Amino acid sequence: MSQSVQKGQRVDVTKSYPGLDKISVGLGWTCEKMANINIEVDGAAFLLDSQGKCLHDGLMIFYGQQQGLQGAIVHQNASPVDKENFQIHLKQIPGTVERIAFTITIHEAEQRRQSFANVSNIYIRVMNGQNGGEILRFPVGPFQRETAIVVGELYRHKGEWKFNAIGAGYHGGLAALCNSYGLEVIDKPSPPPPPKPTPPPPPTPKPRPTPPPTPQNNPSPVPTEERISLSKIELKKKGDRINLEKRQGQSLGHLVVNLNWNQRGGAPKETGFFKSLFGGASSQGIDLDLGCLFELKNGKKGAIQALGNSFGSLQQEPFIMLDKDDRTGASTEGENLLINGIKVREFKRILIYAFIYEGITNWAQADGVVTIKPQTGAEIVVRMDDHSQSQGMCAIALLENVNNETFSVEKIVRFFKGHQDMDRAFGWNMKWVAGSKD
Amino acid sequence: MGISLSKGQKVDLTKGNASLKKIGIGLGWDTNKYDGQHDFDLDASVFLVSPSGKVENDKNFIFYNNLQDPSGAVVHSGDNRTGDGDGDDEYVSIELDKVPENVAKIAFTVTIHDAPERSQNFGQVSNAYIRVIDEATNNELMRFDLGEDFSVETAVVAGELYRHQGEWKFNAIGSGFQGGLGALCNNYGLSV
Repeated sequence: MSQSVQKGQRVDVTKSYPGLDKISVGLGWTCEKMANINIEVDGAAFLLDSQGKCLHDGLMIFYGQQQGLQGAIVHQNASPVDKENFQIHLKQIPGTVERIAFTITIHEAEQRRQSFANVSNIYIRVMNGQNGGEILRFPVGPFQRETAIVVGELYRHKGEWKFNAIGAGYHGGLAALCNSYGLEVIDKPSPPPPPKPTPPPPPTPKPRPTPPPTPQNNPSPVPTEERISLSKIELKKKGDRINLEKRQGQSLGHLVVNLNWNQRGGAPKETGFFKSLFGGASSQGIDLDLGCLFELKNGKKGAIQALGNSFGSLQQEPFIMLDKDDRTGASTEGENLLINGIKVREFKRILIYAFIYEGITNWAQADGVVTIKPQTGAEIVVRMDDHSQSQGMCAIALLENVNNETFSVEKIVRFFKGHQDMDRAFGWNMKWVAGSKD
Repeated sequence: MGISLSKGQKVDLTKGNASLKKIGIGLGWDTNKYDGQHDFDLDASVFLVSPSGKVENDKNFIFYNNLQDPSGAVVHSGDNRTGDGDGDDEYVSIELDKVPENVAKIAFTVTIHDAPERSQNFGQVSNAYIRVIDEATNNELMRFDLGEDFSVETAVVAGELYRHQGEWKFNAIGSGFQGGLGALCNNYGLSV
């Protein structure tokens, strides 16, 4: 039975569950809708010594480094219930690690004038990894000006692991946290991958050009310097391309493709198709639907999107699934496509797109952002920053199989009248029928 | 370093150590520093308790507003508002021979000031201890690390000196209470 924990409380974890090895730590929150820009909250875990310090960079598990200690702790961006999740093998955590602090921070909080005052329903929960049962839950907050929160800590005590509900934080974001744990942070974000020369604007309509034979830049998204880079990688220009980092000998894992955008007026987000399906009230805001075209090595092609109820499957072809959790319209985190990266060799290419199902075509107002979150390595951000368009469909990014090992991600951001135009421009050549509303 | 006590342990203080006349009780703790959070103000208080288990006289309750008892046997060195710095955070001096006969035990407590308003409790306090020092030599006689026993409590009885067959002994209590200093006062028969 799950125990509800209050701030300051110290509770047994392994003592109450003898033999417990695998646990899962979930973090969740709800972001207030901001007028200008979405709030990006990131979870991290710091593996600390008896002095409360991280002995080296490999002990900070976050979006730029999704696992540590040979897989004893693994960070996952996607989880059915929680926003983020850490899978931990307690028995594989070396004795030098006395404490594991779980934190959340707001990305670029200062520039965006955001803080945890804009985030509610924050919690941490610890689950039994063997059976998924919840062991404890700690609801955290509210907060004022903090931009980094130490939500809770697992720590060793007399050979057992316990949990301490911390619920306190710092004003200086992830960098302040890192400093408090003895890690040095690079002052400036590491430069994004050097952009290739901008390709000449392709004449439209035109099949997607084969990638120009310029030397490919494949910088490792995770810097190998001694200091930690907290930056995410943004593909700035159309045609910019980067390979998703894949660690030697490890599978790519699941990828999360998240589409987030601004809702005018602060109303809870209701996604276009679901909103009409479930009779949501009409709002002035803009409603985007996320989808993708896929092409598998075996020749199978198709589209994954809510319109037409084509949600896909993660375990079977096409190994892509649209997250249906947004049905209630309660989520403020946008829409997610999950791609089973373990099956990378089955894929030829995937085209990520968004379309305006209902409402005025105003991309500037939507200011959409697609974030591709690999299980390991840095997140890749593609902003839909070409606002001049009046067409309702936008091809955002193209993922292509690289050596059956990983995907390259290329920024597209090209606008089309509809599915068929886009399909033709990229040479998918499928048959399209008029959009059905069922 | 004195002997390290565990919770509930009772040890002789004056027995076999007849020269011990004046002792010091040191209390210490650490709190984690986070932004946007109130400072912790922890207060050490002393209750001079009669054989009935009650404090018979308000003046026998030694705290930040009453720094010594009427006999002058127990003197509190005053409030440290933040718990900063090394060593003991608060300190109480006791002249054992001057302690009035009707005082059977002397309880040392630590409470968190304004704990509910500041959402604070002992779960956010680490490395709390009580130690007994021989003031003549400044040697530590014994030490009790309160450790892990508390979380949501806002008041702790760290330890007690008590009379036993004409000698003073020390009892490592380590009991937590909710309700702060007010709850402790009620426990000892004082109205606040």
